[in-house]
Parts: sequence; structure tokens; C-alpha cells
Amino acid sequence: MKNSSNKNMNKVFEHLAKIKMVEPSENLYVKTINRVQRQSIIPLFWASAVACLLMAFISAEIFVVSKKKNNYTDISVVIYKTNHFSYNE
Amino acid sequence: MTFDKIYLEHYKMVFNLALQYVQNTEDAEEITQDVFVKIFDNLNSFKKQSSLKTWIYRMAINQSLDFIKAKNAQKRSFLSSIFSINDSNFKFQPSNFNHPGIELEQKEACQKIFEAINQLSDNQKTALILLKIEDKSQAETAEIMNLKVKALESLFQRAKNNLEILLNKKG
Repeated sequence: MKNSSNKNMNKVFEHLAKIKMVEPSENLYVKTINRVQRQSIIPLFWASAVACLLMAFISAEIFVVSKKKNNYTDISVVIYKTNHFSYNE
Repeated sequence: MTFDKIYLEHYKMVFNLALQYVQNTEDAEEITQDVFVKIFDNLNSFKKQSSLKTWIYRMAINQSLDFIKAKNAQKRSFLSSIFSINDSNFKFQPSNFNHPGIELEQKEACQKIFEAINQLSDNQKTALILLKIEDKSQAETAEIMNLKVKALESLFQRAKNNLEILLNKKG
């Protein structure tokens, strides 16, 4: 029983031993080098992350500046009202 | 040693090893590219505790196993989304068996054997591939797998027994 199972497995291993080494396609080197070069340029993930940060910074800046403008108009209104004092004189 | 020289010395070995795991030329080429991108990225951190060849072997094995895991996860999520099943024992089988190293008259028998090998655990699969297909010695295989020779022997014995059970099931 054990002998026959060993024989079967030996056959299986014979099949596996007959598998030949294969030469990959010729353009594999070019594909690999392209991948390596793409890798060494800044990855897309980081480029988009930096772009998002920049956009967020610019919109925050616009928001703050526009708020500041509103404050100035408020003050000018106040100043305008106090100017009545000189008029009465 | 330059990257080009490393590539020229090892690309065939990496491609053929990947081919034994995925039995498909396109997937093996993708794995080979991934391995060499990793080699390029990590060449400076290679600590020479093992030989360069062993290091590349390990990288190729890990990349092949990761590729298979990713494919399994992809298939599993696709199947479970359609049929709402959760089959954790789902094992990789190549969508198209295309192993150019197998001769035509051997193809049917080898396809059956590989279907069984694909069901084995990662370590058992690796031991079988290195010892019986790549024709590595026990000492070389043990070094690549970071095991003691005795541990490798028992791992191979378990792989052999499980392979036999799986092949008998298939009939």
C-alpha cells in the first residue's frame, strides 16, 4: 500500500522535474526599467496630496482675507458715524 | 553591483520561480517587475547577512505569495458581493493555465498536480517548488526559507502527504 503510494508520488515528482526553464519575453527588461523609473519620479499619491494641501491653504487664505475685508467695512461705518461730531462743531 | 547587472543575472530565475506559483506568463511577468522595483528600492538596505541570490529568492517568493493573496482577496470579495458567501478556504487557481515550461503531452497531468499544489499552505507550496521543480538542495532550500534542515524535511513530508490526499480526492 505504502509502496504504491510512494510510486504514485514519485511519478508526480517526475512530472514536476520535467518542467523546463523558460525565457521571458524580450520587452520585460524595458517594462521593468519603465516601472523603476516611474517609481523614482515623485509618486502620484504624494503629488496629489501636496496639491490638495496647497488648495486647502489657498482657500483658507481667501476666506481669511474676505473676512478681514468685512471687518474693515464695519469699522468704517463706525468711524463714519463718529464724524457727526465735527459736523456739529 | 549595478542594478542592470543584478537584473541580467537574476531575471530568468525570478520569472521562472514566479511562474511556478502562478502558472501564467502575464502574472509571472508582473511579479518579476514588482520584484525588481523592490530590489531597486531596497538595494541600499541589503545587509549581506545572506547572499544576494538568497535575498532575491526570498523577495520573489514573498512577492509571488502576496500576489496570490491579493488575487484571492479580489475573487473572494467579488464572489461574496454577488452570492453573499464568505468562503475563507478559497484558494488561488489561475484563470488561464499557461505554463510555457510544460510540454504539451505533460500539460494535463501537470495542470492537475498544480491545482493540488495551489491548495497547499504557503510554506508547503514553497518547499515543494524549491525542492522538486527548482531542483534546489535541502541546504539551499532551508537557507532560502530560513529553516533548519530537519524542519524542512518534516515540512516537505507534510507537503507530500497533503499533496497525495488532494490528488487522490481529484481522482
